[in-house]
Amino acid sequence: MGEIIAGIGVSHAPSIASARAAGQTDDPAWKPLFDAFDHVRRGLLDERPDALVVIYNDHAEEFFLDRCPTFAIGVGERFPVRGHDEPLPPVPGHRELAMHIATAAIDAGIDFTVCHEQGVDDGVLVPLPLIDDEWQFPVVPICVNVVWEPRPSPARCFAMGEAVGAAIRSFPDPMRVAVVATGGLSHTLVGPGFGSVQPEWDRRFLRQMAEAPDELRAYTMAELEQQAGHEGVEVVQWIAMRGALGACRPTYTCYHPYRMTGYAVASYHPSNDHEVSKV
Amino acid sequence: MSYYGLNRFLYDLRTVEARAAYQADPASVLAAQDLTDAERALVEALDFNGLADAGANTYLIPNLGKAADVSFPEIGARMRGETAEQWAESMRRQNERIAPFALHPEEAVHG
Repeated sequence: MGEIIAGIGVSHAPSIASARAAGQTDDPAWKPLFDAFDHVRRGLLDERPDALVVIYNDHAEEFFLDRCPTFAIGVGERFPVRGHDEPLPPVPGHRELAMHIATAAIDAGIDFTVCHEQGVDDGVLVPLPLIDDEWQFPVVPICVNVVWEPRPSPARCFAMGEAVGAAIRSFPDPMRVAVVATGGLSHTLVGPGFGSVQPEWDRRFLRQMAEAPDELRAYTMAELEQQAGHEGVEVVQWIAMRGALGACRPTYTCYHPYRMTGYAVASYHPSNDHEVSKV
Repeated sequence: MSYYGLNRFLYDLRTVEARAAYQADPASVLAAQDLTDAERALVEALDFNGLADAGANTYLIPNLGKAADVSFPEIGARMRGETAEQWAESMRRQNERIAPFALHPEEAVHG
Protein backbone atom coordinates (compact mmCIF):
# COMPACT_ATOMS: atom_id res chain seq x y z
CA MET A 1 0.00 0.00 0.00
CA GLY A 2 1.04 3.55 -0.57
CA GLU A 3 2.29 5.69 2.28
CA ILE A 4 3.00 9.38 2.78
CA ILE A 5 6.37 9.50 4.52
CA ALA A 6 6.60 13.29 4.76
CA GLY A 7 5.14 16.63 3.81
CA ILE A 8 7.50 19.38 2.74
CA GLY A 9 6.81 23.06 2.14
CA VAL A 10 9.29 25.21 0.19
CA SER A 11 9.29 28.70 -1.30
CA HIS A 12 9.77 28.92 -5.06
CA ALA A 13 10.62 32.59 -5.66
CA PRO A 14 13.01 32.95 -8.62
CA SER A 15 15.23 35.14 -6.42
CA ILE A 16 16.36 31.86 -4.79
CA ALA A 17 17.64 30.50 -8.10
CA SER A 18 19.25 33.86 -8.90
CA ALA A 19 21.08 33.92 -5.56
CA ARG A 20 22.29 30.38 -6.15
CA ALA A 21 23.44 31.18 -9.69
CA ALA A 22 25.29 34.22 -8.32
CA GLY A 23 27.18 32.00 -5.85
CA GLN A 24 25.52 33.54 -2.78
CA THR A 25 24.62 30.33 -0.96
CA ASP A 26 27.18 31.13 1.78
CA ASP A 27 26.29 34.83 1.91
CA PRO A 28 24.94 35.46 5.45
CA ALA A 29 21.82 36.99 3.93
CA TRP A 30 20.99 33.74 2.14
CA LYS A 31 22.82 30.97 4.01
CA PRO A 32 20.04 30.11 6.49
CA LEU A 33 17.64 29.49 3.62
CA PHE A 34 20.07 27.39 1.56
CA ASP A 35 21.01 25.44 4.70
CA ALA A 36 17.33 24.64 5.14
CA PHE A 37 16.98 23.42 1.56
CA ASP A 38 20.09 21.29 2.09
CA HIS A 39 18.61 19.82 5.26
CA VAL A 40 15.59 18.68 3.25
CA ARG A 41 17.81 17.39 0.41
CA ARG A 42 19.85 15.23 2.80
CA GLY A 43 16.69 13.99 4.49
CA LEU A 44 15.26 12.82 1.17
CA LEU A 45 18.52 10.99 0.41
CA ASP A 46 18.14 9.17 3.74
CA GLU A 47 14.44 8.42 3.44
CA ARG A 48 14.48 7.57 -0.29
CA PRO A 49 10.88 8.15 -1.30
CA ASP A 50 9.68 6.33 -4.42
CA ALA A 51 8.13 9.53 -5.73
CA LEU A 52 7.52 13.20 -4.95
CA VAL A 53 4.04 14.61 -5.43
CA VAL A 54 4.78 18.29 -6.08
CA ILE A 55 1.88 20.72 -5.59
CA TYR A 56 2.78 24.02 -7.23
CA ASN A 57 1.36 26.86 -9.26
CA ASP A 58 2.16 27.86 -12.81
CA HIS A 59 2.92 31.54 -13.57
CA ALA A 60 1.19 32.00 -16.94
CA GLU A 61 3.95 29.94 -18.56
CA GLU A 62 2.25 26.62 -19.31
CA PHE A 63 -1.37 27.49 -18.67
CA PHE A 64 -2.74 30.67 -20.21
CA LEU A 65 -6.31 31.97 -20.13
CA ASP A 66 -7.16 30.16 -23.38
CA ARG A 67 -7.68 27.04 -21.27
CA CYS A 68 -6.71 27.04 -17.66
CA PRO A 69 -7.36 24.06 -15.40
CA THR A 70 -8.21 24.72 -11.76
CA PHE A 71 -6.32 21.57 -10.74
CA ALA A 72 -4.04 19.80 -13.24
CA ILE A 73 -2.05 16.59 -12.77
CA GLY A 74 0.84 15.56 -15.00
CA VAL A 75 0.68 11.89 -15.95
CA GLY A 76 3.44 11.96 -18.58
CA GLU A 77 6.81 10.24 -18.49
CA ARG A 78 8.65 13.54 -18.34
CA PHE A 79 7.81 17.21 -18.01
CA PRO A 80 9.57 19.84 -20.14
CA VAL A 81 11.02 23.02 -18.70
CA ARG A 82 9.09 26.26 -19.23
CA GLY A 83 10.20 29.83 -18.59
CA HIS A 84 13.19 28.95 -16.44
CA ASP A 85 16.65 30.45 -16.88
CA GLU A 86 18.84 27.50 -15.88
CA PRO A 87 19.36 24.78 -18.51
CA LEU A 88 17.64 21.89 -16.77
CA PRO A 89 16.69 18.51 -18.21
CA PRO A 90 13.01 17.50 -18.26
CA VAL A 91 11.66 16.33 -14.91
CA PRO A 92 10.96 12.57 -14.76
CA GLY A 93 7.36 11.56 -14.08
CA HIS A 94 5.67 8.57 -12.48
CA ARG A 95 2.86 7.63 -14.82
CA GLU A 96 1.50 4.76 -12.73
CA LEU A 97 1.21 6.74 -9.50
CA ALA A 98 -0.08 9.83 -11.30
CA MET A 99 -2.82 7.90 -13.11
CA HIS A 100 -3.80 6.22 -9.86
CA ILE A 101 -4.05 9.57 -8.07
CA ALA A 102 -6.01 11.11 -10.95
CA THR A 103 -8.43 8.21 -11.10
CA ALA A 104 -9.01 7.97 -7.36
CA ALA A 105 -9.32 11.73 -6.88
CA ILE A 106 -11.78 12.14 -9.75
CA ASP A 107 -13.75 9.22 -8.34
CA ALA A 108 -13.82 11.12 -5.03
CA GLY A 109 -15.10 14.31 -6.70
CA ILE A 110 -11.89 16.26 -7.34
CA ASP A 111 -11.99 16.71 -11.09
CA PHE A 112 -8.37 17.01 -12.12
CA THR A 113 -7.49 17.97 -15.67
CA VAL A 114 -5.33 15.01 -16.68
CA CYS A 115 -2.29 16.17 -18.65
CA HIS A 116 -0.16 13.78 -20.67
CA GLU A 117 1.88 16.83 -21.60
CA GLN A 118 2.57 19.38 -18.89
CA GLY A 119 5.46 21.80 -18.92
CA VAL A 120 6.66 22.88 -15.48
CA ASP A 121 7.95 26.33 -14.59
CA ASP A 122 9.65 28.05 -11.63
CA GLY A 123 6.94 26.69 -9.35
CA VAL A 124 8.69 23.32 -9.66
CA LEU A 125 12.09 24.23 -11.04
CA VAL A 126 13.29 26.74 -8.45
CA PRO A 127 13.06 24.43 -5.42
CA LEU A 128 13.45 21.00 -7.02
CA PRO A 129 17.20 21.24 -7.83
CA LEU A 130 17.77 22.28 -4.21
CA ILE A 131 16.06 19.23 -2.72
CA ASP A 132 16.90 16.69 -5.47
CA ASP A 133 19.90 17.87 -7.46
CA GLU A 134 20.11 14.78 -9.66
CA TRP A 135 16.43 14.23 -10.53
CA GLN A 136 16.61 10.97 -8.55
CA PHE A 137 12.98 10.93 -7.52
CA PRO A 138 10.15 10.76 -10.06
CA VAL A 139 7.67 13.61 -9.75
CA VAL A 140 3.90 13.79 -9.99
CA PRO A 141 3.23 17.49 -10.64
CA ILE A 142 -0.07 18.92 -9.44
CA CYS A 143 -0.75 22.47 -10.59
CA VAL A 144 -3.18 24.76 -8.78
CA ASN A 145 -4.52 27.81 -10.61
CA VAL A 146 -3.88 30.79 -8.36
CA VAL A 147 -3.09 33.35 -11.06
CA TRP A 148 -6.34 33.57 -13.04
CA GLU A 149 -9.83 34.33 -11.79
CA PRO A 150 -11.78 32.43 -10.68
CA ARG A 151 -9.50 30.53 -8.30
CA PRO A 152 -10.24 27.57 -6.03
CA SER A 153 -10.90 28.36 -2.36
CA PRO A 154 -8.45 27.31 0.38
CA ALA A 155 -11.11 24.83 1.57
CA ARG A 156 -11.28 23.34 -1.91
CA CYS A 157 -7.47 23.11 -2.06
CA PHE A 158 -7.46 21.36 1.33
CA ALA A 159 -10.09 18.92 0.01
CA MET A 160 -7.98 18.32 -3.11
CA GLY A 161 -5.05 17.50 -0.84
CA GLU A 162 -7.20 15.13 1.21
CA ALA A 163 -8.23 13.31 -1.97
CA VAL A 164 -4.61 13.12 -3.14
CA GLY A 165 -3.54 11.77 0.26
CA ALA A 166 -6.28 9.12 0.24
CA ALA A 167 -5.31 8.19 -3.33
CA ILE A 168 -1.65 7.75 -2.40
CA ARG A 169 -2.63 5.54 0.56
CA SER A 170 -4.82 3.42 -1.68
CA PHE A 171 -2.03 2.70 -4.16
CA PRO A 172 -2.09 -1.12 -4.47
CA ASP A 173 1.67 -1.70 -4.23
CA PRO A 174 4.32 -0.45 -1.81
CA MET A 175 4.87 3.23 -2.62
CA ARG A 176 6.56 5.73 -0.31
CA VAL A 177 5.69 9.30 -1.22
CA ALA A 178 6.78 12.73 -0.04
CA VAL A 179 4.23 15.46 -0.75
CA VAL A 180 5.99 18.72 -1.57
CA ALA A 181 4.15 22.05 -1.64
CA THR A 182 5.89 25.01 -3.28
CA GLY A 183 5.28 28.74 -3.00
CA GLY A 184 4.88 31.50 -0.45
CA LEU A 185 4.96 32.72 2.03
CA SER A 186 3.93 36.39 1.99
CA HIS A 187 4.84 38.51 -1.02
CA THR A 188 3.30 41.08 -3.33
CA LEU A 189 4.46 41.79 -6.86
CA VAL A 190 1.88 44.33 -7.96
CA GLY A 191 0.55 47.72 -6.90
CA PRO A 192 1.71 50.29 -4.34
CA GLY A 193 2.56 47.47 -1.93
CA PHE A 194 5.01 45.87 -4.38
CA GLY A 195 7.76 44.10 -2.41
CA SER A 196 6.01 44.09 0.95
CA VAL A 197 6.40 41.13 3.31
CA GLN A 198 4.08 40.28 6.24
CA PRO A 199 6.25 38.39 8.73
CA GLU A 200 3.65 38.41 11.52
CA TRP A 201 1.19 36.64 9.24
CA ASP A 202 3.83 34.22 7.95
CA ARG A 203 4.66 33.10 11.50
CA ARG A 204 0.96 32.70 12.20
CA PHE A 205 0.54 30.62 9.06
CA LEU A 206 3.40 28.31 10.06
CA ARG A 207 1.75 27.83 13.45
CA GLN A 208 -1.56 27.05 11.74
CA MET A 209 0.19 24.52 9.48
CA ALA A 210 1.58 22.86 12.60
CA GLU A 211 -1.39 23.04 14.92
CA ALA A 212 -4.57 24.28 13.34
CA PRO A 213 -5.45 22.87 9.91
CA ASP A 214 -9.09 23.85 10.44
CA GLU A 215 -8.02 27.49 10.49
CA LEU A 216 -6.23 26.99 7.17
CA ARG A 217 -9.32 25.82 5.36
CA ALA A 218 -11.43 28.56 6.92
CA TYR A 219 -9.52 31.28 5.04
CA THR A 220 -11.16 32.91 2.06
CA MET A 221 -9.05 33.76 -0.97
CA ALA A 222 -9.76 37.45 -0.30
CA GLU A 223 -8.40 37.10 3.24
CA LEU A 224 -5.26 35.36 1.99
CA GLU A 225 -4.75 38.07 -0.61
CA GLN A 226 -5.09 40.75 2.05
CA GLN A 227 -2.94 39.02 4.69
CA ALA A 228 -0.34 37.08 2.68
CA GLY A 229 -0.18 39.59 -0.16
CA HIS A 230 -1.38 39.56 -3.74
CA GLU A 231 0.99 36.74 -4.77
CA GLY A 232 1.09 35.16 -1.30
CA VAL A 233 -2.19 33.41 -2.10
CA GLU A 234 -0.06 30.57 -3.49
CA VAL A 235 0.18 29.28 0.10
CA VAL A 236 -2.97 27.36 -0.85
CA GLN A 237 -0.47 24.76 -2.12
CA TRP A 238 0.81 24.34 1.45
CA ILE A 239 -2.81 24.08 2.57
CA ALA A 240 -3.40 21.29 0.02
CA MET A 241 -0.27 19.50 1.23
CA ARG A 242 -1.51 19.79 4.82
CA GLY A 243 -4.80 18.26 3.69
CA ALA A 244 -2.94 15.28 2.19
CA LEU A 245 -1.02 14.57 5.40
CA GLY A 246 -3.77 14.03 7.96
CA ALA A 247 -2.44 13.78 11.51
CA CYS A 248 1.13 15.02 11.51
CA ARG A 249 3.68 17.01 13.43
CA PRO A 250 6.16 19.64 12.28
CA THR A 251 9.69 18.25 12.27
CA TYR A 252 11.62 21.15 10.79
CA THR A 253 10.80 24.82 10.29
CA CYS A 254 12.91 27.56 8.76
CA TYR A 255 11.43 31.00 8.17
CA HIS A 256 13.64 33.56 6.48
CA PRO A 257 12.05 36.92 5.68
CA TYR A 258 14.36 38.81 3.34
CA ARG A 259 13.82 41.59 0.85
CA MET A 260 10.62 40.87 -1.08
CA THR A 261 9.64 37.43 0.24
CA GLY A 262 8.85 35.60 3.45
CA TYR A 263 10.85 32.51 2.52
CA ALA A 264 10.08 29.26 4.30
CA VAL A 265 11.20 25.63 4.30
CA ALA A 266 9.34 23.20 6.54
CA SER A 267 8.83 19.46 7.01
CA TYR A 268 5.97 17.54 8.55
CA HIS A 269 5.79 13.87 9.40
CA PRO A 270 2.87 11.59 10.17
CA SER A 271 2.22 11.64 13.92
CA ASN A 272 2.36 7.87 14.14
CA ASP A 273 5.92 7.95 12.84
CA HIS A 274 7.94 7.18 15.97
CA GLU A 275 11.36 7.48 14.45
CA VAL A 276 13.03 10.85 14.44
CA SER A 277 13.04 11.74 10.79
CA LYS A 278 15.86 13.36 8.87
CA VAL A 279 13.84 15.18 6.25
CA MET B 1 -12.62 46.01 -20.29
CA SER B 2 -11.23 43.16 -22.35
CA TYR B 3 -9.69 40.92 -19.76
CA TYR B 4 -8.82 38.25 -22.29
CA GLY B 5 -7.61 40.64 -25.00
CA LEU B 6 -5.35 42.52 -22.62
CA ASN B 7 -3.76 39.39 -21.23
CA ARG B 8 -3.52 37.83 -24.70
CA PHE B 9 -1.52 40.87 -25.84
CA LEU B 10 0.80 40.68 -22.83
CA TYR B 11 1.17 36.89 -23.10
CA ASP B 12 2.09 37.15 -26.78
CA LEU B 13 4.89 39.57 -25.85
CA ARG B 14 6.73 36.69 -24.14
CA THR B 15 8.90 36.01 -27.20
CA VAL B 16 11.86 38.10 -28.30
CA GLU B 17 10.40 38.24 -31.82
CA ALA B 18 7.06 39.62 -30.63
CA ARG B 19 8.77 42.24 -28.49
CA ALA B 20 10.94 43.30 -31.43
CA ALA B 21 7.85 43.64 -33.63
CA TYR B 22 6.17 45.74 -30.96
CA GLN B 23 9.22 47.96 -30.53
CA ALA B 24 9.46 48.47 -34.29
CA ASP B 25 5.87 49.61 -34.69
CA PRO B 26 3.88 49.81 -31.46
CA ALA B 27 0.94 51.64 -32.99
CA SER B 28 0.24 48.94 -35.59
CA VAL B 29 0.68 46.10 -33.13
CA LEU B 30 -1.65 47.78 -30.63
CA ALA B 31 -4.25 48.57 -33.30
CA ALA B 32 -4.48 44.85 -34.11
CA GLN B 33 -5.23 43.88 -30.51
CA ASP B 34 -8.62 43.28 -28.92
CA LEU B 35 -8.23 46.18 -26.52
CA THR B 36 -10.37 49.11 -25.46
CA ASP B 37 -9.08 52.63 -26.07
CA ALA B 38 -8.54 52.99 -22.33
CA GLU B 39 -6.41 49.83 -22.28
CA ARG B 40 -4.36 51.00 -25.25
CA ALA B 41 -3.72 54.24 -23.38
CA LEU B 42 -2.55 52.33 -20.30
CA VAL B 43 -0.16 50.28 -22.44
CA GLU B 44 1.22 53.34 -24.22
CA ALA B 45 1.67 55.21 -20.94
CA LEU B 46 3.35 52.16 -19.33
CA ASP B 47 0.86 52.66 -16.47
CA PHE B 48 1.67 49.39 -14.72
CA ASN B 49 -0.69 49.88 -11.79
CA GLY B 50 -3.44 50.91 -14.17
CA LEU B 51 -2.85 47.76 -16.21
CA ALA B 52 -2.96 45.60 -13.08
CA ASP B 53 -6.21 47.27 -12.03
CA ALA B 54 -7.59 46.57 -15.52
CA GLY B 55 -6.91 42.87 -14.98
CA ALA B 56 -3.42 42.41 -16.43
CA ASN B 57 -1.73 39.38 -14.91
CA THR B 58 1.11 40.04 -12.47
CA TYR B 59 3.39 37.65 -14.33
CA LEU B 60 2.66 39.06 -17.79
CA ILE B 61 3.15 42.76 -17.04
CA PRO B 62 6.97 42.27 -17.12
CA ASN B 63 6.69 41.22 -20.78
CA LEU B 64 5.58 44.77 -21.58
CA GLY B 65 8.40 46.04 -19.38
CA LYS B 66 10.91 44.04 -21.44
CA ALA B 67 9.43 45.39 -24.66
CA ALA B 68 9.82 48.93 -23.31
CA ASP B 69 13.23 48.40 -21.66
CA VAL B 70 11.82 48.72 -18.15
CA SER B 71 13.32 46.14 -15.78
CA PHE B 72 11.28 44.21 -13.23
CA PRO B 73 12.73 46.13 -10.24
CA GLU B 74 11.94 49.36 -12.08
CA ILE B 75 8.35 48.22 -12.63
CA GLY B 76 8.19 47.60 -8.89
CA ALA B 77 9.55 51.03 -8.04
CA ARG B 78 7.07 52.67 -10.41
CA MET B 79 4.19 50.71 -8.92
CA ARG B 80 5.26 51.97 -5.50
CA GLY B 81 5.59 55.51 -6.84
CA GLU B 82 9.26 55.61 -5.88
CA THR B 83 12.56 56.33 -7.56
CA ALA B 84 15.13 53.53 -7.68
CA GLU B 85 16.93 55.13 -4.70
CA GLN B 86 13.75 55.47 -2.65
CA TRP B 87 12.85 51.87 -3.45
CA ALA B 88 16.27 50.64 -2.29
CA GLU B 89 15.86 52.60 0.94
CA SER B 90 12.33 51.23 1.47
CA MET B 91 13.65 47.69 1.04
CA ARG B 92 16.48 48.36 3.48
CA ARG B 93 14.04 49.63 6.09
CA GLN B 94 11.62 46.79 5.55
CA ASN B 95 14.44 44.30 5.87
CA GLU B 96 15.36 45.77 9.25
CA ARG B 97 11.78 45.40 10.39
CA ILE B 98 11.19 41.85 9.16
CA ALA B 99 14.56 40.22 9.95
CA PRO B 100 13.76 39.65 13.68
CA PHE B 101 10.86 37.39 12.69
CA ALA B 102 13.26 34.82 11.22
CA LEU B 103 13.08 31.27 12.54
CA HIS B 104 16.36 29.54 11.78
CA PRO B 105 17.06 25.83 12.29
CA GLU B 106 18.90 25.97 15.61
CA GLU B 107 15.97 27.86 17.10
CA ALA B 108 13.34 26.15 14.97
CA VAL B 109 10.34 24.44 16.50
CA HIS B 110 10.62 20.66 16.42
CA GLY B 111 7.57 18.60 17.10
